Order: sequence, then structure tokens, then C-alpha cells
Amino acid sequence: MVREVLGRDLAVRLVMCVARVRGLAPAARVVVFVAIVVGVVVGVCGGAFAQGEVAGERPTIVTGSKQFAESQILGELAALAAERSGYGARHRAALGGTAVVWSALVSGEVDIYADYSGTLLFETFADEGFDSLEQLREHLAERYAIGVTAPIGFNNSYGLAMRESRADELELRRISDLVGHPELVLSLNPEASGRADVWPGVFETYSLPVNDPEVPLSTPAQLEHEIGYQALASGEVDLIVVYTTDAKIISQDLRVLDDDRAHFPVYDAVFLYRLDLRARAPEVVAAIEGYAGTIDESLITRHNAMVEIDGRTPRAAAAVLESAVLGGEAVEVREPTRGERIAQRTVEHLYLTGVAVVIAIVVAVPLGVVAAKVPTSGPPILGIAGICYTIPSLALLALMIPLSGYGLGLGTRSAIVALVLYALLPIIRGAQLGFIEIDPAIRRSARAIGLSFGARLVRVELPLAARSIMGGIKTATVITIGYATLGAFIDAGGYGVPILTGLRRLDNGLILEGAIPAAVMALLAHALFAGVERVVVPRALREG
Amino acid sequence: MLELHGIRRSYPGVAVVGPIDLRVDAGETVALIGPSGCGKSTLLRVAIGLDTPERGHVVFDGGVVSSRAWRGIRRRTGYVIQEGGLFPHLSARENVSLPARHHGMSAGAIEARIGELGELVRLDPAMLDRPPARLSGGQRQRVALMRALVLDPALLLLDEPLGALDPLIRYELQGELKRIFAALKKAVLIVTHDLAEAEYFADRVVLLRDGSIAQQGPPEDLLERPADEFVRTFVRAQRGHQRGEGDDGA
Repeated sequence: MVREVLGRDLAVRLVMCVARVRGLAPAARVVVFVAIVVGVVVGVCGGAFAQGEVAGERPTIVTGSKQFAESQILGELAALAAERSGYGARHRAALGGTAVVWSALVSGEVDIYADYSGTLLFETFADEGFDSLEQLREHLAERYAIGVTAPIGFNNSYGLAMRESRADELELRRISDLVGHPELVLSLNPEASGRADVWPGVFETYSLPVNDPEVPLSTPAQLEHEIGYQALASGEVDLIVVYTTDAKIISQDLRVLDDDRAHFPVYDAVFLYRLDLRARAPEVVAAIEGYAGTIDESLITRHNAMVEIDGRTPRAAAAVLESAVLGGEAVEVREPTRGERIAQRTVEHLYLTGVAVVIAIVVAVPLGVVAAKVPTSGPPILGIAGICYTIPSLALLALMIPLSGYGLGLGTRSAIVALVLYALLPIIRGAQLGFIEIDPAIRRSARAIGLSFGARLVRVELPLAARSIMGGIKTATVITIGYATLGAFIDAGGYGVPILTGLRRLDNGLILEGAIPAAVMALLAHALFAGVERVVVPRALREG
Repeated sequence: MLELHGIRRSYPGVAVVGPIDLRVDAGETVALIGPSGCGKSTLLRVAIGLDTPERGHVVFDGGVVSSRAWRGIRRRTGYVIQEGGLFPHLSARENVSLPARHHGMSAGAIEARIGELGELVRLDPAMLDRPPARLSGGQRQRVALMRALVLDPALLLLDEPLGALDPLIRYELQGELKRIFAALKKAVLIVTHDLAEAEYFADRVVLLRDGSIAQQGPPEDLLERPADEFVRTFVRAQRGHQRGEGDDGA
């Protein structure tokens, strides 16, 4: 892709600059500096060009998914269905939670994604008080023009799981069998302990003891979901709350006790899609409807394990799942190597950070100058930048999604807008301070020798403020490299993608795959600025 | 050359300057003197448009200066302040050439002019490539004077040009300045708080007190014919305590 090539070229230039700038003559340094600026600008234009290109030719169906493997596999499955029907397909993977992906569907950023009947009935639309999927389907069609397919077949609800061997030993098959085993130790994950219908609801349904200090089973421990699995494997706990299609149920050889009194709510997987797809791409709607009742718990769990345990991509797992359901050969999916993944993320991350910082500089330096020169403008300018800086970053990203009508919504552009808003404050502050700190006698001299406003700015004030301005830019860049990892929540790519996946799976390897390059990039940025400082800060001011 | 007419400038809650009339003729050196806070530097800033008076106007070379004309006036005026006001990010040479380049002098002409002025102010040429931070106080003032003179101005405004120097350097530079003024024959308005310095340089001394003129005239007038008690006290204070003063019968 054009954008990738340009991005890589840009990266090479930046690295070269860092490596060489020490030994260069001043004139050559200026050339290198200009090359960086040009590289960034070309990168920006190239990126914008490449984004425009994707849309052409045949209509593209956009599928979405939440962060966990199962959702991403279903997102890929829908994308494969679109491709099979002759459409272009794009999967905006791992968006930040139900609220984000739902609003992306409503705003048209996404055409299809998979969700669960329980999530929609008891969480997203809990206020409506629906008690059947049918009521929900009518409501969504009328109110949002969103369609809901028939259940895909598996129910990803809560369950109580224990090691298969231990369950055999104690002859436990159903939750009601727990009555005879008060000595067992139970662990709840934070979500389960926050929901009364799970705890203590399930124990009440099965007439099990609750909160009796004498009875271990009645006083559950609280462990984070993934840690609960580790504790179960090591034997520290006997019983944990699981989601019934968790990959670890297979990989750790666990038994989910049968919910024989049907206590837990049903979380049937369904596809949600925009009803206008019926006109735009009827074959795709038919294809996803065609999955009704075809994928059961054990089938989806095996494919979840492919991603979560074996480390394959959701697309590869979806291809295997598709051939298991529809028959025929699985679509061949090439898995990128770790090196390729890091290279791809690096290009994305550099692009996000580089474009955001350049725009922020162009906007913020003049604002800082105005804030310093027109004293009454300082408080409002810094106040507004301060507000941008303190909005929680995830909230800022989420606020971009409904703005898809204004060119924002999901993706790189929104992430850049959010990053620019964050980067403004340190740069404005640096520029303002740099100007305020100039000795009034120096300013007077500059006027007294007859320099025009522009000449005073360019020849005297900017060079004297350069160090402070560069300080602000440096801070902003390092902050931006960190914040850019959150771009993964809205499909902007970057190092946040492996970090978020790793966090969810408690996979330190994946977290480091994003965190280490991000740290290295921050260090390189520091080195780069040391070089840029040599170019833009006058020599006489560098010694002090 | 320079006339200030009815200049009045007040600062909220502080002193009021004026109304004051003051003139400096071509070839004449005038010293503005007075206790600190009497309005000397304010008058100098008004004279080059860095401060806008509430009342009064400035006449430069026979014409009343409008607010738009200041850049033209500044081109024809050299201005030196106590610490020189040199730009810390530029070398001595760049400091001197900046106004010349800005006003369109050619690179060759600038080089020649710098050579000339360097000789006039007796600056070691090796110092030209140093930034101000690596020059001594005296060298900085010599460079500041070069910058003020580079466009060959008709008027020189000097605000305590030697105020921050130690006594030996100051003594040496006083001699140099006197020589330079004599060589250039320009209109010079110099602010100082030192009567001896004023006496040494000036054809005419203007003594300010609380924003108005207490007495003006040739230096001898102030010494020999003080207009009032303030002038007498000021002159005596400037002379300082002398051995034997106050002894009975001395």
C-alpha cells in the first residue's frame, strides 16, 4: 500500500537523522531537518490519498468486533461471508467495548457485528425491560434500522467450572451436585461479583449456603478472570466462574457444571446488521442469517482456543470455522510473523504520532505566541487547551465515534484529532513561557534598532524562545507516543493493538510486543529532538 | 535635531513625568541627569517611540513624528542601554549587522562598516565572532555602540551606557566616548546619574527632579549658579564627602 511504503520511508529517514546528525555541518543539518519535515508532510498526504483509495471499485461491507477473540472471529466470519458474495470486506477489529461498536453500527461506520442476546437485553437495553429476543428485534428495527439474526447456535453465558479430573473424583456433573461439597473453594471474577443475578443469585437458586464463615464454599475469593484460571490450574481454588465458551475450558481440561435449574441468563450469539444491507447486499444478509443454529459451544470454544491459546489470527480461525460449517477447503490465510506485525504496528504508530505532533505544532506554537503577546488571551487559550488535556482519553475517543458524519468516527483520523487535542497544552505552554521569559530590554532593543514586527519575531523572539518551544514539543511527542496506544480502541492500529489484546489475555509476551517498541520509539524521539535542538536552538543559547 | 514638546507621561499609582520641553541640536551633546525615578529613561524611550506619552509630541529633524513614522526615525537613531541590550543568540558581528541587513545594506558594505566601526570603538576583531555571554562588560558596550552606529544615525540616544561597568573600565570608556562624540559630531542625548560624567561629556546638562526640569545649561552653571536648594544639594551630594569637610574652621 502507498501509505505503508511512505511510512516506512519516513521511518528510515528519521532513524538516519538520529544516527548522523552529530557529525554534520550546520547547513547539512538544516537539510536533514527539512527532509524530516518534508517526509512527514508527504506521509500525511500519502496517508490521506491511500485512505481515499480504499473506498473505490466494488461496495465494501464493514464488519466490526469487540476486543475478545470470539467477537473478532465472528467479525472475520461475517467479512468472509461478504467476500464470498463478491463484495469487498473490511473488519474493524477489537473496538473498545459494546458502547463503541454499537454506536459505530448505528452511525454506519460498521455494517455488521456479533453480540449476545443477554448483553443487549440485560445491559445495553436493560431500561426497556424486554424479556425476549423478538421484542428486542422489533425495537431495534423500528428505532435504529438495525436487524438481528436468529441465534448462531452457542450460548456464551456464565458457568461454574472445575478441573475435569477433580470433578470426576468428586462425581460432580451439575451445579446441584455442589450441595454435598461445602469444602470446595470458589473464586468470582470482578464482573460476576458485581452482578447480583450471578452472585449470590446462583447459590440461592440452588439452595447453597451464602456468607457462612464456617463454610468455604459460601465465601468466595475474588480473582481477576485470567488469574482465576491460573489459581484453578494450581489447585488454589476448586471452582471458578467462567464464560461458557472460554478457550481455557478446552486447554485446561475443565468441566462446566450443568446449569440444571437454568439459572443463568441466556447469552445467545447473534449478528446485528444495518437493515439497509438488505438492499445494498442481500446476499451478505442471507449468508449471515444462514449461520443460524450452526455453531455450538464446543465448536466456537475450539476456535477461540486457536486464537487465544495457539496464537493464530482471528481471520485464520474464522476461515477454519467457516469451512467446518459450510464444508469445503478453508480459505488460506497467511499469518504475519512477529517481525511483520511489529513493523506494521510501527508504521501505524509513527503515522499517528508524527501527523498528530506536526499538526499540533502548527496550531499550538502560534497560539502560544498570541497567549504571550496578548495577555488577555492567555487564560482562555490555556483554559481551553487544559480542558482538552484533562478529558479522559478513552472518553475523548468515544466522543469521536458519533461524529462520523463530520469525517471522524472510527479510525486513524479520529485518533489523530484526539492526539492533537492532547498535544496542544504542552506546546502552547512552552511557546508562551519562551516568549514571556525574553528580557524586556532585549525586546526594547529589537524595536529600537528599527526591526519590523515580523523581523523581531523571526530574528529575535523565536530563536530566543526556541529552547522552551522545543521543550514543549518534546513533552508533547512523548505523551503522544504513549496516548497513541489507545488508538487501538477505535481501529486506528499502532502499538496499542498487541497491548490491549495482551492485557485482556494476561499475555505478557503480547503486552511487551507493544510496550517495548513504544518505549523505544519514545527514546528515539528524545534522541531525535536532541538533534533537532542542535539545528533550531542558536548555538550561543545551548551552552548555558 | 530632536525636540520634545510638552511631553507628559504618567504611570498608574507612580510618578508623573512632565510636561517637559527638551531639545538637542545637531552636533550637540546633552546629558540628562537626576536622581533615580526622575523620568530620565522615560524621556529617552519617548524620544524613540518605545513609550507613548499622553500629551506632547516629538519633532525629529524639523518634522512632527506620527505614530507610523517611528521605524524611519529609528533607522536614523542609535540607541544603547545599560547592559547593551545585545541579542544573546547572535554573535557580536551578527548583532551589529542585523539592523543594517534589515534596512537593506549590502553584505560587502556591512563588512566594511564593521571594520570601520571596530577601529572607531577599538574592539579586538577576534571578539566579533563571540556571543555576548563571552564578552566582557566593556566589550559588550563597545559592540552595542557599533550596532547603534552601523546605519550612521543622525541622533544617538544613550541610556546609562556605562552604568554597569566597574570604575576602571568606565573611566577608560568615558575617554573613548568623548573622543567618538567629537569625531562623529552627531546629536547625542545621554542619560546618566553621575554629574562628573555629565560634566565631562556634555555641552549642556539637563537636571530633572520628579519629572520636571530643575535646571539646564552649561555644566558650569549648575556648579556655580545653582537655581535652587535642590540643585545645590544634588551637586554637593555628587561631589561626595571630602576629607576635612565639616571640620571646625576648615
